[in-house]
Amino acid sequence: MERAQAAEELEFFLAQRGKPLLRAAVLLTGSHEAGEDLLQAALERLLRHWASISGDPEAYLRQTLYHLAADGWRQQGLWRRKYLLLRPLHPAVTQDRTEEVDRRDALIRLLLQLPPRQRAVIVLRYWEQLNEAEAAEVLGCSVGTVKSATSRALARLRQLSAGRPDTDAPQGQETAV
Amino acid sequence: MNPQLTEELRSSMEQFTEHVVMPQGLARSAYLRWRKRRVMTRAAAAAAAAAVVAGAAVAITAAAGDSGNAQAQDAAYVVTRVENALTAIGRGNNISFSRTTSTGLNSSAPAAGFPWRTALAWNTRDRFNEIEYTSSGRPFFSFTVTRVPGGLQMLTVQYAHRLVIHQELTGAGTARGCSTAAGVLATLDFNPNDLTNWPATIRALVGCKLLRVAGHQRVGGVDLIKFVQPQVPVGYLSVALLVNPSTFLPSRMVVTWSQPGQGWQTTTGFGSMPPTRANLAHLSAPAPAGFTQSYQRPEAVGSSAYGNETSWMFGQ
Repeated sequence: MERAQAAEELEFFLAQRGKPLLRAAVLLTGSHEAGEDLLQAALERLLRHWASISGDPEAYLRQTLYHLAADGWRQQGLWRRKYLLLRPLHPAVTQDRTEEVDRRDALIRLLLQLPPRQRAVIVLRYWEQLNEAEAAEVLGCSVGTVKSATSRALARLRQLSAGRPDTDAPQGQETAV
Repeated sequence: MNPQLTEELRSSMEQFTEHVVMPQGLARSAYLRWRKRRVMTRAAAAAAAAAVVAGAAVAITAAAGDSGNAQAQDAAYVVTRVENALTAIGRGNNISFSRTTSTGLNSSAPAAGFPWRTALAWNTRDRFNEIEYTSSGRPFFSFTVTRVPGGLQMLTVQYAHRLVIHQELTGAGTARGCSTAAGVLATLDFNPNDLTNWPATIRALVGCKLLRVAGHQRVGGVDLIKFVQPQVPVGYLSVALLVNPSTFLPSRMVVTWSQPGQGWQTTTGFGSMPPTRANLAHLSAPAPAGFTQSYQRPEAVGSSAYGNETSWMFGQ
């Protein structure tokens, strides 16, 4: 099938079922703009391998999305995450929800500070609600890697949950899983 | 993990993305970007394909009306001729040069999704460098390939994004068989002047009947031999190559991409220049100060963004 036609089909697919993918991409990158870029990069890769893909392109697209994110995708994403840490995520909220929103903001900020693979694991496990084996399959790694990445990521989140400042996570720093 | 925190994390992610709206045209945009990426290496493929066909012209012309063993003999003859010619060129250490201009099919302006207007490319046996310019003369993109042991070192500069991308392609430099014609052409794409690979590539191209003589075309008072692809599916690039009948060197190449209501065409002229210090400087990649440097993981030729470049270009 020609790629141009594939692109048209994908356009239709995205209109119908693309929003969850874009939401995952936004979580993985930290902003709507970067999320669109990530999803577009995954689409580009899907088009590149279109002729050799058998089965559900959505599954391939989802897997590619997470692979790209877990691999760091773009080094320049660092500045985006730093930028996100400097600005309010929800500038306009009602007074009675301020504390709740602040806490969620803080969680998201912390999520965005995690290394790419840890962040991907968290999104897969607690946003996509996949189990460890399923998350490992999407990321193309072992269940043990998913477990350890989850454990490390949650350790950071627990610090916030306990009301302690996160002192060991330099902003935007990429670290190994 | 604390279930309350789990739920809080989930609701945080829900809230963070609740206003996300899927934009229209994302897949089309990805398609254009994918297509553009492939076109960016057109000059490399063009230079190589042109030289290949210059040699292939001899065989195909001589083989007109023949078949079977005759074709095999002519293919061998082509290999010999081109090997001799390229050896002679290689001894001279000249720098090949090409200048390409792009236009929309229905106007003199570049087509949508085709942002550069002029591309200049220089290459030697081990180095290829191309710089694309916008219609206002600003550099838009540059692409440099350097042969290194075991592969190719690529450096791309995206001026609009102030980004320099470094990546190594491994496994380059191996000629492919006829059954993987796309791979053969992909090899051409990334071995623009790898002289040792051309004979094998020529064998495959001739044997796979990927090019044919389509008569002559008069340019500048000279009847150039014209080569085209036997079949071009709708939506794929169409390549026409014009070869000087006296020197068997490529003179001009026209690449056309058209679909209903849209399309573009590039025209490339070829030349060469002596390896003076000033000319050799053209082979060096630009290194704009202050640009972000991005180092990508090495990729095998077959799986890289450029791996099946010419399979798309040539509709294989």
